[in-house]
Amino acid sequence: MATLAAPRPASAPADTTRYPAGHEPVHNYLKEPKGIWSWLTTVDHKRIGIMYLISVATFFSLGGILALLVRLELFSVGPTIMGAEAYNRVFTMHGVVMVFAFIIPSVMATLGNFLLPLMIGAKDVAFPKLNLLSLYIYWGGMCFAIASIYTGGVDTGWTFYTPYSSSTSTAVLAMGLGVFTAGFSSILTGLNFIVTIHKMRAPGMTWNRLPLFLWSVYATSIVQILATPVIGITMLLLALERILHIGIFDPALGGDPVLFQHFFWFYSHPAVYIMILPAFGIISELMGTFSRQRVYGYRAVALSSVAIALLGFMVWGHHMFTSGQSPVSSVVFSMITFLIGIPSGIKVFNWVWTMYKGSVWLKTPMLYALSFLFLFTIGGVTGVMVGALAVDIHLHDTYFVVAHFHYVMMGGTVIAMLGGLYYWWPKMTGRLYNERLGQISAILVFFGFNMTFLIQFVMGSQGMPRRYYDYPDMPWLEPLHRISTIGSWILAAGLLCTLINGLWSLKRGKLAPGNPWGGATLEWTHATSPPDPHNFARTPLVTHGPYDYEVLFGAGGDGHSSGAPVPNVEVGGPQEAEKSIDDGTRQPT
Amino acid sequence: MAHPNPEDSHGDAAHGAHGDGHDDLYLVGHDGQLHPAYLQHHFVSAQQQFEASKLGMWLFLVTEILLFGGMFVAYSIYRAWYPSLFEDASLQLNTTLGALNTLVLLLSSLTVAWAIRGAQTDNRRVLFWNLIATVALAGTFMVVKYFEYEHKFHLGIFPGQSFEYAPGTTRVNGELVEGTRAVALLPAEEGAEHGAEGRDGGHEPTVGAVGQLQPAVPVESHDGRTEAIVLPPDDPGANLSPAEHVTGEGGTLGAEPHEAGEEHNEREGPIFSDPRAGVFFSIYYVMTGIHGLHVIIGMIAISILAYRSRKGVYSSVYYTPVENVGLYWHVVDIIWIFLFPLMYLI
Amino acid sequence: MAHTDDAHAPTHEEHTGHGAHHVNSRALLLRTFGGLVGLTILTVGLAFAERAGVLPLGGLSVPVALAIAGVKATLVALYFMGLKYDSRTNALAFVGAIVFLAIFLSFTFLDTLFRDTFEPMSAVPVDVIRAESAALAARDSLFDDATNPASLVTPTDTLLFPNAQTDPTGAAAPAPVAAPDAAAPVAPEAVPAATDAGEVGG
Repeated sequence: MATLAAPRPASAPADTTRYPAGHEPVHNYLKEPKGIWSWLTTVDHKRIGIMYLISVATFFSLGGILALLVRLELFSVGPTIMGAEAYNRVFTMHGVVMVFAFIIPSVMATLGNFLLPLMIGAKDVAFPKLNLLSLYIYWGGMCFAIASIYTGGVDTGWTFYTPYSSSTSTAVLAMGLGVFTAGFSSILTGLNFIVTIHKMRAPGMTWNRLPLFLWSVYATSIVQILATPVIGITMLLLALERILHIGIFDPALGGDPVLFQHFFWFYSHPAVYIMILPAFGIISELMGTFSRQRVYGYRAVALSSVAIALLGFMVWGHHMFTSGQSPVSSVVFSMITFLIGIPSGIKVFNWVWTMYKGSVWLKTPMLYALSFLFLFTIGGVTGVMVGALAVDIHLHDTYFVVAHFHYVMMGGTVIAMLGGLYYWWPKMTGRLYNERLGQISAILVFFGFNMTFLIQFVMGSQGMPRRYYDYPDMPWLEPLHRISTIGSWILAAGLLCTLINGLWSLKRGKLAPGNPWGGATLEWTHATSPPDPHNFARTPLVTHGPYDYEVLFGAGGDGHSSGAPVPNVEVGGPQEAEKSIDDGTRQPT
Repeated sequence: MAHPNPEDSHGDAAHGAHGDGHDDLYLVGHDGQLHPAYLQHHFVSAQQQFEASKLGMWLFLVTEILLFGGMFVAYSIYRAWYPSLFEDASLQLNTTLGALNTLVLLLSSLTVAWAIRGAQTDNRRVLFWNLIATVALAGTFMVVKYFEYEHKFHLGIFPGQSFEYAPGTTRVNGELVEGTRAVALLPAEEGAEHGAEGRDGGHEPTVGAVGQLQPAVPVESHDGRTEAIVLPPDDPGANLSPAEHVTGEGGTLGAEPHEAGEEHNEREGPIFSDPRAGVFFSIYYVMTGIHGLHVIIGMIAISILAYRSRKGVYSSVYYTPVENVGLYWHVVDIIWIFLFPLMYLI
Repeated sequence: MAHTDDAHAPTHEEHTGHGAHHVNSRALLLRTFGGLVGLTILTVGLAFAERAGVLPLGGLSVPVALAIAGVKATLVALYFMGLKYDSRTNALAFVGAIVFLAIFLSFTFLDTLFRDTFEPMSAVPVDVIRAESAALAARDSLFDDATNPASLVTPTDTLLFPNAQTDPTGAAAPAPVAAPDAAAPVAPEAVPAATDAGEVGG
């Protein structure tokens, strides 16, 4: 941790009841207005973000428990804790809950909602009431999903492939309705964010001064509004197929089951970019702040987000190489899948270059960001591997693919989201978390995750199929499965540490200064921790870029922070030195 | 930088609403400053709010286009695979009523655009009556649609599995339509002729072919051999099921879903023997059904607008909801502009 | 503040305090409507002409109808929806949606149109295969009489004439006794010849 150039001033004794001097927020959005009803009818994007966070964390825990059950079942050959029918339902529910209830809204609806207006200098998103509606629609969709789980769940796999899903007697309708409804929530969030970014940037906030997190949020929003309607129509057609037997996916009536797959994956592939793009944005922010210098290649990183969003609509067929689709389309999809690895690679290179000659500050968010670099690279590279048509013929529906997508989704999105949560925790809650426990959680998560999933690449290439309840003809895989299961316990322990850290910090964490990390974006420089209900006292005037640490904190020399002072966590940077303008929107103090 | 306009035609209302909202920091911002009642606190100016609202509505319309677009993709794929199915089926749709509906919707687009113009020029009467006209035209559309659907149900044209095929039709999976029994083979000439008429080749089922099947039961044989061949019917123009010709019994083969007689004559057309007719009509009903649902939602929204415009809520200063609902209505019209030729004409 | 006469209204900016919005003139609205109705009549007319056989468009009927519909939609978007006079972002959103729909359609067609690229039968539906093979069988069965002539000698005849050949064509007759012997010496000779040929050839 020896990255401090200047000796820290003697810190005041830890005081959990008072903010550092000069950092008391005048109005705290968490406390005003009071009462549960004010929360349920709020139009404050920050409160909506917090409510999303609680919901999303709950579903993550549910999905995680289901995952632990899956891994426990696979611990030994033969039935371990459940029968085959139950196993099918458990892994399907794990997938559905994790994809639709957790990861799709995860970063966008929690951190995105909370940070977007703060980062662009606006008082709220463009349509605050629509934002609240989006939350309620999400909750409604989740009620349908829970109803489905309650009535026995679904056993089709989270992909709902026909013809099984149109004929199985499990609760597909309720789950389909849940997915359909949750899709509207996603659409409304994306719509809100695009309009906000286009129309409500503070004076001086040009497109080239947008924080890279917001570039990712923007790209993700585009994907959300273009792709999500298609899953809506897909679920509707599936429901009609089940109820009325309209025959559109039923070969016996003249339909084509592969058409369902086209419809499904036209959404679900861009959906994975909905999952990863905001995570990319978080990493950009973390890399900048914790290397104390600007993100290298701002324009490349920004435009690569948009490129990934757009290219992501042209590769869905790589999920269908073995479905019976034409060889022509398989080849085309495979080629474009290779192409889409390029913008992701550009980002990784830029992030690594950001750290070069920087002053790397190994706090918990940075530990997660470094984990991301390692884990996402593995996930991305193995993605290109399964994107190769000839290779995927053999690896499709094996554990290789399972390991790949867990590396990108969990090693990517979840790790980045955890890093972002730790980073913005002081801003959101006004409290500091326990740094030691945070570091322990980062190490446990990294170690546990690799132990769980790295071995699955081996399993998959050895022939272990996915969604299989048992593997009696491959008993040599049992030790590998056991390693994976034990890894899942370590991973769970690490995640539990984060949960404990969060809860502890809410009760007993030190009250945070306004800008504990020395960030240069508007939420750090212009808003208190936690922010005012209206975000800013006056509309900020933006005069520098989002990563101009040396402008704010006066680094000398070549801008690299070997000479720059590291902000003292006890007392953050100046709050009132920032410029603002009077445009008649002054809030009462 | 534009300041909120102090000369506000709704000044009194603004003051009143302003007064009792003072304590609520969320919904009412700028204390001490006059602002239009409709300006929301998180927006800096009315212009920003208007532009943001409009962009928001355009983005919502993008989602509508993608939603219907999915169905257009399904339509296109099945059309590419089974072109004769689509051509035969479109004969069952009443082109005149469809064209009428098209003109009705186009006129409703005109009236809603005119209503917006009325709002922009502070002409409350023009605004109100054009909104009413739009609702009326939309209602006409739905009434015509109702009659179209009713006629189809009358003929047994239902989506998917429920489609009432002509007796003797073999379904895709080889099963016969319920209530009919195995009949003898027909030569392929009739089917080949029918299939070759001006269609692009491709793998489509032919009319004659669908009557053919592996006989489960040998039919009456005249000279001790199983009758495997039957001469083609004398009048190839008749579109009755081949089964009737084979057995020589006049239309009493199997249990027909409708009474024989005059009903039967209305169910004319090769579509009734096409085993994939259910799929076409599924696509038809889903597309027109969802479109109809959007028309109804539009009718409700425009009715609310008409009611509020009566109360004087909209003027050239503030007509954003009228503009946005108008945009929605135009997209509903555009979707019908594509639905009409694809379903009815070609 | 209702203004009934457009010509004398104060500028929109003065009146509302915010930027001018484009107001569609009556003439523009009516002209657009006229264009739309005209195009509708055109497309319906073409369809009737084609059905009556007057104008055989054949394969062009779909693209022509879609083109006309596209022009109509463009008219509605540009003038009724105001895209011509509006901010570029709105137009970009609309056009973007169409572009991505086109991507959806074209990439799916890459699959559905080329299903039989390497295996000609792979895309043919099963009922069509059955129907075609049944048609072929029916056609072949037309020749049954010629290839399998009815037996001239009925079982009744053989009671009267026990020595008569019941099978004039010899199809059902047992193979001549000499045949296996003739075949046997042939076979061993053939085999080494075949292997020689095989070795030479291989």
